[in-house]
Parts: sequence; C-alpha cells; structure tokens
Amino acid sequence: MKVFFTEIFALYKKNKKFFLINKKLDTIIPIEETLYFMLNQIILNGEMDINAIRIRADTLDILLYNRILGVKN
Amino acid sequence: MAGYLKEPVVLQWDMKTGSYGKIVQHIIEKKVCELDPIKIRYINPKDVDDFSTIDRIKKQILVQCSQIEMDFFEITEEQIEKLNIDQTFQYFLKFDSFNLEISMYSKLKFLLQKIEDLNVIVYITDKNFYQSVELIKWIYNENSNISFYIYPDKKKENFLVHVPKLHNAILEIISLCKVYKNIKLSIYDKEKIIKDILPLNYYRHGNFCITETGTVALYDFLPDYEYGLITTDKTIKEIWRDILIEHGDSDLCKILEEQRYWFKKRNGNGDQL
Repeated sequence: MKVFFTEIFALYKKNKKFFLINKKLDTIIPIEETLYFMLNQIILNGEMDINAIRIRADTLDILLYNRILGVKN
Repeated sequence: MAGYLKEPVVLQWDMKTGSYGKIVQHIIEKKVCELDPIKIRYINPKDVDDFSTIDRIKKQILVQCSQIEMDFFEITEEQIEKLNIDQTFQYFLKFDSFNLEISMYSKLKFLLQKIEDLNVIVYITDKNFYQSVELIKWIYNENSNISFYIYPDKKKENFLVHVPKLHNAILEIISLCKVYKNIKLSIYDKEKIIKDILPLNYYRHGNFCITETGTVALYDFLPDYEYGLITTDKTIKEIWRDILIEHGDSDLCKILEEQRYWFKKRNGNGDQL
C-alpha cells in the first residue's frame, strides 16, 4: 500500500518552525522538522510505501484522518 | 479545545477602509509588517493606494502565500485596467449575493482576460443559487481552469437553512460536476469545519482578521473587537495576545454550542442536518 500527499494541505517552513495548513480553510497544524522533511519527501517522490514511513502510528492516523495523506492500493 | 500559536501566521485584512481612511491604513500596514505571517489575504483592495500598500508589505516581509480577494461588484473596469497582476499572488473574485445583469458580463470577460489564473467565490442563498449555477457555467466556458468556491451567505435571510431547500440547491450545483467532469468546485462552510476541528488537540489557531473598520477577530465569522489596532498605542502582537486571552476560548466555545447546521441559524429557524 502506498500513500501520497493530497492537495488539501500545504507544507510551510518559517524560521525553523514547520506547519501544515489546510489550503482552503487556513486551519493550522504545527509539525516537527522530521515530519516536515518526510512529507516533503513524499511530495518529491509522488508517493511512498506505507511501510517505509517511519513515524508513530497515531501520527500516521492523524495524517490519514485529516486527508493530509491519501492511500493508493 | 485546540491551542494557539504565539503569534498569528494566517492574516486576513479587509482593506475597504470604511470609517478610518487611508492615513490609518498606513498604521495598519506598519503593524502587519511587525508580524511574520505565512499567508496573507488582502480583501477588497481597489485603488492604486491599496495595491501600493500590498506591494510595500511584499517588499518588507517574506510571505509564502499572498492572496487578493476582490468583490466583483465593488471593483470598476477602470480599476481592473490599472491592475498590475503579480504572478506570485493568488487572485480571488467574489460574488456576494448578486443579481447579475447582462451588461456585467463584459466587465467579467475583461477581468477573466486580465487574470487567467483566477479563483471564484460565490455566496449562495435560496434566491440566487440558480443564477449562481448559470454564472459558474458561463465562467467555466470562458476559462475551464478556474477554481470555484461556494459558501453559504449568512449575512442575510437565507432559506437554505431548511434542509430540503439546501439539498435541492446542492443537487443543482453538483449537477455541474456531471456536465463538466474536470470542474474544480468546492462547497463548504468554514464555520462548520472549524467547529469540527475544535476538539482535535493537534490543531492550533493562528488566524487573525482585520476588518474594514480596523477591529480585529480570530476568524471572519467570529465577533470582532476594538483593540486599538488603528492607534499607535499597542503592537499587533499585544493585540493578538489580548484578543486570545479575553475572547479566544469563549468565542470558539460558542461555536461548539451551536447546533450542527450547514447554515448557522442566524436568520429564522432551520432544520437540523
């Protein structure tokens, strides 16, 4: 199973602070640097195998629940 | 309840300059430049002064996403002609409860030619949704690359609070997606979605709105307050902190207490969704 970065959110970096912002709604989730770079990697690659994502399961749940990441079978 | 950021990162400024005028606009400009926002949306800029202000802010602070939202019925053809399109900005054209006459299509055509990469916002009521559908069709036929955003109009009596009427309107709008397979169209109510995310503790509120009278609010649908933004007494960060401490939680809690309406029960009774 692979995941991709949806177009709903955008990644932002400002003064060593990292954010995900819902592009239409402007709702904001501050994120850690490691997660920022991992998501950026998914954007650059277009997709990533779900097993290759090294983050906590609950963080992955949040990413999927908020449709920050989408799933491809 | 979700927490807050130390300073706002998403800023919205209504530049209409209602009662305070251009001199005070300059004070707001200086205060905006004290912030370090990621995103700014300038609402209702019209004349050369407004666009010069936007340009000066762009030169002073690094903002990753700048947006300009213009009201179709407020901006004139002369002002459209003078518009200097900045490719790094996103442009939004707003149709706020309208009665579009044939003569206005030439102005619209002119605007669509001027700004190719445009986003269109349509506020709908029970009275204008058929017209809204026609408007969207017309614009889409002119430029199929445009994104459309449909919001409920809560400023006036709107019988789309009643579920059957609302469903009927949504079906009409959704029918556009059947006819135009690739149309970029979203229908949503910001207030309702903020209500849904409030209990999620990983969200943070960093939104700050400046109204046309110089009052401030966290979101455009929340109450606005006079905190001396248009005076030189307080910095914008102090104002942000004050509004959060004094009104943040209480105003956001009020949203939670509302029944779950797509359209808030602001005018008359509505059926529950």
